[in-house]
Amino acid sequence: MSTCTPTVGAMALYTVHGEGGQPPSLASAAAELGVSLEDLDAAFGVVTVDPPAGLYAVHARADRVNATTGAERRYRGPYSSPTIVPLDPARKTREGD
Amino acid sequence: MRIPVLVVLPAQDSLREAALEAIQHRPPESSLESATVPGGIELDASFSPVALGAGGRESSLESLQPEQSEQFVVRGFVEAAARTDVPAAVGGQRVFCDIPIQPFVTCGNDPPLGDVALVRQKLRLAALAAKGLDGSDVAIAIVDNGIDLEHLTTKLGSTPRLDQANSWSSPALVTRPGEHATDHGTMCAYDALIAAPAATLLDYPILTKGGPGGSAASGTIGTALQAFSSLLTSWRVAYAPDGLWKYRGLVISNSWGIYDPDWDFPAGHPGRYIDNPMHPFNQIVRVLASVGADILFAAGNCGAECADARCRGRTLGTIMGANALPDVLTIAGCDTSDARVGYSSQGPSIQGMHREKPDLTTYTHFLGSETFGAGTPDSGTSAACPVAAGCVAALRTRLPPDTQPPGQLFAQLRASAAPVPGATGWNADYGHGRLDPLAAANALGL
Repeated sequence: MSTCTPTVGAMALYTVHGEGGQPPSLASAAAELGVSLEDLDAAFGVVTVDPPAGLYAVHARADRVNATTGAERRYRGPYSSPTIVPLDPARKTREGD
Repeated sequence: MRIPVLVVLPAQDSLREAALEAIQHRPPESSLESATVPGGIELDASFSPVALGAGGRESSLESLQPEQSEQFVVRGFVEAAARTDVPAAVGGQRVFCDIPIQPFVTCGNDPPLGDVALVRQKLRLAALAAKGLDGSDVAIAIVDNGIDLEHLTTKLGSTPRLDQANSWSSPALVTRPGEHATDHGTMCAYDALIAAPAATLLDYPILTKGGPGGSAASGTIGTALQAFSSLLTSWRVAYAPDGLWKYRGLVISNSWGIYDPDWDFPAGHPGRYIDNPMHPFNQIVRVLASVGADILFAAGNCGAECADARCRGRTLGTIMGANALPDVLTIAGCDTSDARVGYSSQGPSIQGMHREKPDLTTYTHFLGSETFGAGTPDSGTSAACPVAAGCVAALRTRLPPDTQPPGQLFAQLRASAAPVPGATGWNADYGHGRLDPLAAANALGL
C-alpha cells in the first residue's frame, strides 16, 4: 500500500501557469484549478518551476480540484510529494553475517 | 554493457592444452582462438580453462585431469543491458555469472578505512590546488538537514565561508543558517570542502527531525521543490543585489533520496515522482541545470551486498527520482582501497528514468568530520556525493558554466574517470569509473 496515495482533504502538488513572464497570484492559481483560495496552501505559496514555460507549482486540496479534462484544462496534477530522507550511513551487517 | 560470465564447454584439444599449460606452470603457447565457442560469447583468452571432469555427474580425481576431462570452464563476456538480462544458456551451453569477489566488502557498520588525508592523496588534490583550483568564488549548496559551522570550524581549524544571506529558510524553521545541530548536513559540508576549501557554503536545510524506517531526518519533495525554486530564482531569475548570480559557479549537493517506492504514488499514477521525468521537481532540476547549476545526487545505499534496511531487500532499480535524471551527476561510493562499498546502489536505475546510473564513483567511509562521534566514518553515498561536489566546485574556480555548461563538464568528468579493472564503458557498480578531477582539469586545459 502506498504511503503517499492522495486522500480526501490531502494537499497535493499541481502545476499552474503565469502570464506575461510573471507568476500567477494565489487567486489566479486557485481559479485555474477551480478551487477557492482556502483550498490552497498559502504557506507553500506559488513556487517557480520553469519561468520560460510560465510553469509554477502550488499545493492544493486534491479532493477540491476541478477534475476537468480536455483542452480547457491547463493545470497538471496531482503530483506526489513523497517523503525524502538523507542517504545516511547504512547500518546493516553484510549478507551472511 | 559487457558482462563477464563463465561457460561450461565440451572438451576440445585447445582447451585441454591451455589447461595443462596452466597446471604445469608452462608459458602459454597454445591459443584459445581455435576453441569453438557459442555465438554471442566473446572468449577471455587470459583465463586458463579449468577441467570440470564429468560435469554434473560424479567425477573421479582422474576425470579432473585435463587429458581426461569431458568438460571445461572458460570465461567470456556477453553483451546485455544488465546482469539480470544475461540468458541462462547461449548456443545450448549454460552461462553462469562471474561474480566479482573481494576479501571484504565495506558495510555500514564497519570502521573507517583511511582518513581524509588519504582521500586528498587519492584524488591528487594537492596538484589541483597548485593549479589554483580551490573553489574560490564558487557556491556549494548543501541541501540536507543543516550545517553546524562551529563543528566545521573545530574540525578544520578555521571557519569556512558560509553565505547566510543566500542560504535558505522556511517560516517553520527557526534555526539560523550554520547553527543547526551536528548531523548529516554537517558531514556533507565537511566533505564538500575537502577538494574546495575556499568555496562558499550555502545552508539549505530541507530535512527536519525524524522519518520513516528510523531515518534521522526527513522532508518532502514539495519542500525540495521550494528550495530548488529559491536557488533558481536567486541564481538566474531575480538577479537581486548580492544574490547567487555573483558567484562564478553554483554546485548543488544532494545526499538524499527515497529508499522505498511505496513512499510514492502507486506505479502507473501519472503524478508519481520516482519514474516520471515530468514531475515538477524533476522539471525544476532540468531547468536549473540548463542555466548552469551543477547538480549532484548520491546514488543511494541499496547495494546488493549490504543494503540499508530501509531498502526492504530491494536492490535492483533503486536509483530513483531526480537521482536518476540525465541532467545530474549521480555518485556511487568506494572505500579508500578503490573498492565499491557494499551498500552503494547499483545501476541500472528505475525504468522510465536515465538507466545508466550511477555516473561516477568516489570516496566514502573514511575518517573525516567525525560528525557522528570520535572515530566514526563519513559514510554512505551521502559522503561520496559532496566529495564529488567539492571536486566540481574546484574545477569551476576557473571554468564558468557559460563557457562549459554542466552537461559538458559532466561528460568530461565521465570521460576522464579512472577505469575500473575488467570493465569498459559504463558499469553498473561504478558508472564510468572513479572520479579523477585532476585528469579532467588537464583535459579541460586548466
